[in-house]
Amino acid sequence: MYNHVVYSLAKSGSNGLTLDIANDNPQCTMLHSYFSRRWHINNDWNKLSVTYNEKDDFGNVDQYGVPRPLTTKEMEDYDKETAIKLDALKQYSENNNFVLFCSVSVMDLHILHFFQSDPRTKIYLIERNIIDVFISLYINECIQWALTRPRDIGDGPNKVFAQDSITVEKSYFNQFTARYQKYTKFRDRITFEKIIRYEDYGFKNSDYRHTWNHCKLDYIKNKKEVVEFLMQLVRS
Amino acid sequence: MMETIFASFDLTSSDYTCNLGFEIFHNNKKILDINHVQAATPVTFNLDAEPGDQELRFVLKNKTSKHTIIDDNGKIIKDAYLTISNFSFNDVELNNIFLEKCQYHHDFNGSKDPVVLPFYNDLGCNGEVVFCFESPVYYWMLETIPYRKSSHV
Repeated sequence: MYNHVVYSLAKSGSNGLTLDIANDNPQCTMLHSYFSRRWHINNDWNKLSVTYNEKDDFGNVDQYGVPRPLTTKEMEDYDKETAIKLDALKQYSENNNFVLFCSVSVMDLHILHFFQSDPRTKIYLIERNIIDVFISLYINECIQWALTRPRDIGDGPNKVFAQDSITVEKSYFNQFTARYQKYTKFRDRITFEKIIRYEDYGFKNSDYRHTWNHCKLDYIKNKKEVVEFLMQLVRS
Repeated sequence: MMETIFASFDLTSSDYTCNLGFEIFHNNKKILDINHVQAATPVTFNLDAEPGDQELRFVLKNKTSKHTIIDDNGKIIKDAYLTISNFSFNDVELNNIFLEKCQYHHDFNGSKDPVVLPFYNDLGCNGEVVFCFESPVYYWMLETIPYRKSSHV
């Protein structure tokens, strides 16, 4: 009996892969976003043959289910709660097995160290084309589409934009740098059970079946700036 | 959709008195011919590229045995060669990507069997450096940078 943990940078299919692993391991409790601030894949857990307790999640959404940004105080509290939750997970795992994913934006080294040193835990890495991650994150977090996206994402429109219609703001380069550096710092310390390419993986859950949009850079107006930034970031 | 790629690099010679020549082919079409590289030369050109595989060939010509001076121990003490540096597409310098995607085809100026070797910026033997890439070039650049963990299943 193993625990299963999926690790990724962002927008790399970790939700879908986690769901697949959960369905393949019904003896495991689904703690999908145990360390996230919110449950953001609608009610897919309902379709699973695994147990998911919504109270295990931080569920930081408003009355309409729209994610609510945390205040500085809440962020500080969240950091404290991470230690509490890690301790709770350690106790929980003594008698239970679980499946969850690690979001690089909320994960810390203590939690990964626990996973890494636990012989019953398998860690998976799913990686996606860096430009897809970069642009997907930007679209999801920073532009108007994100502010007006439908509440039920599963029924929402495909994200198709006109050519050269998006200019990536300079501040986002710094945000992404911080995220990527944290990701590589952790990633390079972990021994993975399996490393998966997003582009090659066939998601079993229909919600995550996808056609790889290989033209995302076409949306971007400041292409040269983006490409130059990503090349320097990866090289550094 | 066809794209136009702006390419540039610096071409220098270790000895401008030697009449080393240089050519560039894009998908077998000659786009540059310098019979004698006489000074440091910034090379710039536009490539019209259809989506898919692309090939640039950089050719060194006119190298002779007189350009290489060897001492009694067989050690090269003076040589003539051309150097390609600072290769860029659309003003984005490729650095190691360029070298990693190049292969140097030559036969040691006719003294040995033909070989295909890694390229390290210098062309010291008559022959050609074949550089393969893909269009759209921005996507190719981002696909090529080593951002992944090495082993995937």
